Amino acid sequence: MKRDSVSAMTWRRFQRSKLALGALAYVVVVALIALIAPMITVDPNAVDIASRLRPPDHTHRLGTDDLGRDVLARVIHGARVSLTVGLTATLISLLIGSFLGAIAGYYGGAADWLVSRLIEIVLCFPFLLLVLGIVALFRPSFITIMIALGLTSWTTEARFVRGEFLRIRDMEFAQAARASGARDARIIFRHLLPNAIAPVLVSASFGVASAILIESALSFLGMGVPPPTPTWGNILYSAEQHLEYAWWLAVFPGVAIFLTVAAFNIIGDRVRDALDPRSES
Amino acid sequence: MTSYVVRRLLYAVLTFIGITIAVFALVHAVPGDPITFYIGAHGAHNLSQPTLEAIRHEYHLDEPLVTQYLYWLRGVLRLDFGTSVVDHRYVTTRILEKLPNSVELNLIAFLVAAAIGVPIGLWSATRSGRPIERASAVLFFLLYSLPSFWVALLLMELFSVKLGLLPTFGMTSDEYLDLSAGQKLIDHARHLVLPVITLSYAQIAIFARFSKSALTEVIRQDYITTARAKGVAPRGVLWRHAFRNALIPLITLLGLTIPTLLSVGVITEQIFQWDGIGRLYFVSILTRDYPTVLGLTVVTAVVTLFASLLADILYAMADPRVRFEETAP
Amino acid sequence: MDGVKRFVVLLLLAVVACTNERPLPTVSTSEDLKKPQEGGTVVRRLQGDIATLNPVMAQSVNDRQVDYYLHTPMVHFDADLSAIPGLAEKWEISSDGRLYTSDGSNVTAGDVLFTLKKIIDPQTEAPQIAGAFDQLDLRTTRVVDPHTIVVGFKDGISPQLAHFNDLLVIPEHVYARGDFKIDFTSRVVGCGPYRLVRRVAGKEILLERRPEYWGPRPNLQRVLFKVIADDITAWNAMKRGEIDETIISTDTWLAEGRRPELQKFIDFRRFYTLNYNYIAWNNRDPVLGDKRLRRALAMCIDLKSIIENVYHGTARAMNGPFTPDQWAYNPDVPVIEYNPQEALRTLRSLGWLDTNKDGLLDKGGKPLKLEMLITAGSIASNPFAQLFQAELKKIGIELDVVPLDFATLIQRVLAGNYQCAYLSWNLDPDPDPFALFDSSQFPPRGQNFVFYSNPEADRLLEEGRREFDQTKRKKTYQQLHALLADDQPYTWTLQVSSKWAINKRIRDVKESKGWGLFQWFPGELGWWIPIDQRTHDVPLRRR
Repeated sequence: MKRDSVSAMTWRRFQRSKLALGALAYVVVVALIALIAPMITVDPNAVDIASRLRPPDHTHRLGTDDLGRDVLARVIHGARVSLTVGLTATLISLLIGSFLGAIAGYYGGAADWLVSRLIEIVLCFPFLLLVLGIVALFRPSFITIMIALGLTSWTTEARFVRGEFLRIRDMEFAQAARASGARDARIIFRHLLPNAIAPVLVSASFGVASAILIESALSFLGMGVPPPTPTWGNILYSAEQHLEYAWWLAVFPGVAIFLTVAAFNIIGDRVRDALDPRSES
Repeated sequence: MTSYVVRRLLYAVLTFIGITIAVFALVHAVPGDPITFYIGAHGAHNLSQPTLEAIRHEYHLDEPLVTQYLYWLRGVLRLDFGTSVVDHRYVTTRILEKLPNSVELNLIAFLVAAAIGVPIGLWSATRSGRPIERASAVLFFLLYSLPSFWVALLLMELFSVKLGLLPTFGMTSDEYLDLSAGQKLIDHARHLVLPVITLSYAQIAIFARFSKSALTEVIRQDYITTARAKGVAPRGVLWRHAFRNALIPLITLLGLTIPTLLSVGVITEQIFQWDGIGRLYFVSILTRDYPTVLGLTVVTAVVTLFASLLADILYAMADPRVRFEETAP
Repeated sequence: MDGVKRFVVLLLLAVVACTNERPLPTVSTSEDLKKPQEGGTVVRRLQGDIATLNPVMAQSVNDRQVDYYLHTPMVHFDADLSAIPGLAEKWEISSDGRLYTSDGSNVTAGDVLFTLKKIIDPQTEAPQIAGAFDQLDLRTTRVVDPHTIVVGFKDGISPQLAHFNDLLVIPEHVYARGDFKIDFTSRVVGCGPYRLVRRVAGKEILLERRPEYWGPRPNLQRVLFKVIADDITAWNAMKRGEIDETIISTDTWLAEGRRPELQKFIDFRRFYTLNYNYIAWNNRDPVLGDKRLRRALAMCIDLKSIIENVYHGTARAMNGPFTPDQWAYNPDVPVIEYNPQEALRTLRSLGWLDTNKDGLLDKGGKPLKLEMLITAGSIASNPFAQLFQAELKKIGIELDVVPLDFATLIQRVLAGNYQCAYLSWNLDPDPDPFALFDSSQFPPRGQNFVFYSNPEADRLLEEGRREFDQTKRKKTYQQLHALLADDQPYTWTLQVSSKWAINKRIRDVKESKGWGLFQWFPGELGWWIPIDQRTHDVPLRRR
């Protein structure tokens, strides 16, 4: 099973969906905008209370927030933080999930048993308590939020990888590797993992979306990324106080979250279809 | 099968101890305790040290963590979860007061989501790739992408404030006690509408996806092809074989949904003033009400472990090919 | 202190009966819609469920709000915060201020003693009220006759009288039986103007007027408390007429208060209550220990602009531990003017210069970086902290704003493990700030968590609480006010007025200088609803 051909085929299949291509293009554009954010906007934290809660006009294209900060600048800078939080949290959960899932699936027995118990423990663990704990023990910042998200969301990935490992660990190529005397670590990470990672990547694309949503929910509970750092979630939350008369505060970050989360979901869905050798379309 | 269940129950006990130790350690590792919360909530005058000492002593806060945990575990074995540090009522009473409300709301939301999401998912599986199916898929992604507190407030603004069709908050109206049984049902149902929509709109999307992919998967299985080859009518195949098997992942989904309810529920509960355990959990964490936090952890853990066990058993019963094997939850 | 003197309060109880009996229904016959009419139900909002109906165990302002309907305190406050008779018809304070005496019937002096004993018993675990009677001396406290009690204290301090407002007497024959902490969370026997009909935990509390109430008869027949935790939900419920009153945010007040369709039925009120916001500076911090530096930082707060732009004039600048409504307030103390240039000059004179040209002031190779703790999710502290942060950045100081959940924040503050924190106080009616600034009151003993220590302040604080003559006390406190304003152990910032929305069907809603709508006499007892607007009167049935 050669990886190049698989990814090339996946890409060919992926391309067939205009919607998925559009979603991908959108994510790329947003990521680029986020990267060059400091170059294209004013300071997102520059307060000017004399012009607070101004509706959109030509100085502030998307209006100002409750401290007179430029909403456009905050939404663009918010993209940096929200995307970083989403991607990094997902990366953390990918790393933990694949590692534990691989160990459990490859060795089975006691390792599998332990990982399964660990998954159960994490599933029952009160998420809000964990966030509060991490934030209180370290410093509240978007990094702590990322870590908290990553530490709690790896169970899905672990289950997927474990399942895949159970399926492929006794396939010919794995046995061949073992016969050639490769060490376990090499077999797991060089031979098996690349073949087991596909469904995990799909779940990861949904993970990014859900991390962005969870961050906004945490903002509502006062446990999100601390000020003045803008995130889509905390801009949207600040709008909650002014919903009746400052529509621009709610609409723009809301649309940003909405489009981005949808884009990641569409990409994930399409990748999964494309990966499936039996899918017809 | 009995031995399998016994073994799983044994594991569940171990997991349970693991969870409680982890939560116990974390809740104590977070800075502040019930005493600091009392002091923080106190006005700008002096405090009574003997009283604070007495509270520390009653809740064993003056003893080492391990001892505290053992005290707690001993209580749990006797089904005594202690009393709340906030109002001194039994933790069991406090939880049982709110648990039915949470179960009701979440169960209805789950059923609504399933009742709408599953048929749509099955329908789209049979029409995979057609424009109408594509369009509905996109619609569901969009639904799923909306932050829940935002949706909740917009729903309230529209249906309660602007249109005046539904109540703003609470579980029943003021005059509830004077209504006839039928009116009570209607009154309560009206209060349920917005919280249920808030909790289920994203789940509908999840259900639709899950059931679509499950059915797609099943359709491609050999035995369906065999059934087709045997001349069973396509529709019959779909319902007799495919549908039943497509339900399996939904069982798994049910097992996975339960533990997230506590975290997800808090926002809906707060906005619609639905008196459930999600908000109790959140507030108890904030006030460092250790006994209540641990009591709620136990409830979640027991329900989750039970749901996971149940899912595995159902899984095995629904799919004869699955033997009773250890599976990850 | 001199241990020979006796602090006495002689409390004379009014003739009062405790009850949990059912009243007879009353029918209002008055047709005149201008004059107060009896009857009707008001629907009030509780910001959170109460912890208990046992007044000794009361935890939060929600508990208190309900308790004052069900019980009468020994001493009431009027709208101007003066102590007036409550359950105690009159009282005498011994010359050394250690004994108070009182008198009563049905509610007996024995009940008062019982309540006091419960309050100070550590096993009761009543942390919120026990401190108020910390100095109670059971050896000198005695029941003279059923109507008279002498309450003795180990120490004679003038703020003690105000704490008798916290003393809601419970009858011994009821509360002595059963588990004091658990059995009275949802049942109550009191001597207040209302009695409990039902409590549905997490949802509502329904009270009903007691016809045999001994005091002036309240107008409203029933009071229904609805628990609504979320402010936006409460405001939406208010707009729909589902509740009759709620506190609202300044921005809601400013924006929605202008809408004519809402003005038609909602009375938008604002008034000052006993509270203020402040920056607590850790006086033990090597950098912040210098009052010149603290004053320089205070010069970077543009209070005028904040009041103008954020609060549209609905807040006022604070300059010390007393609000302008308190008699202890010193009108001659100036507010520190906004002057970043002057602040920069001061900082330079203290050796803070930008030597490495990185935009931050530094001294001895260390940049001037401060960390300010705020309560996570707080609507008041968040904007202030960010404005302050922006101002300090302009003159080269980095302020790191750290939002923490309340218990974590308090834990760090009490442990002295912080540099500064943005907090607020709800004050007692007596202005005594001893627990906040006396050098004997460092945590865990008291609440001097800024670790402020100044012998002159200690002397004034002591003098102020020993003096029973208000004119003399006022002088002392005015000096203290000036001293604290100069020392800046806190930087006082704003007193933001409370904003309320009240349904116009509720008439004669008056406010006090103390707690606004709550806990003063006659306060809520004077409210009434015209007979044609009784929209929330449903037939009453019990569970």
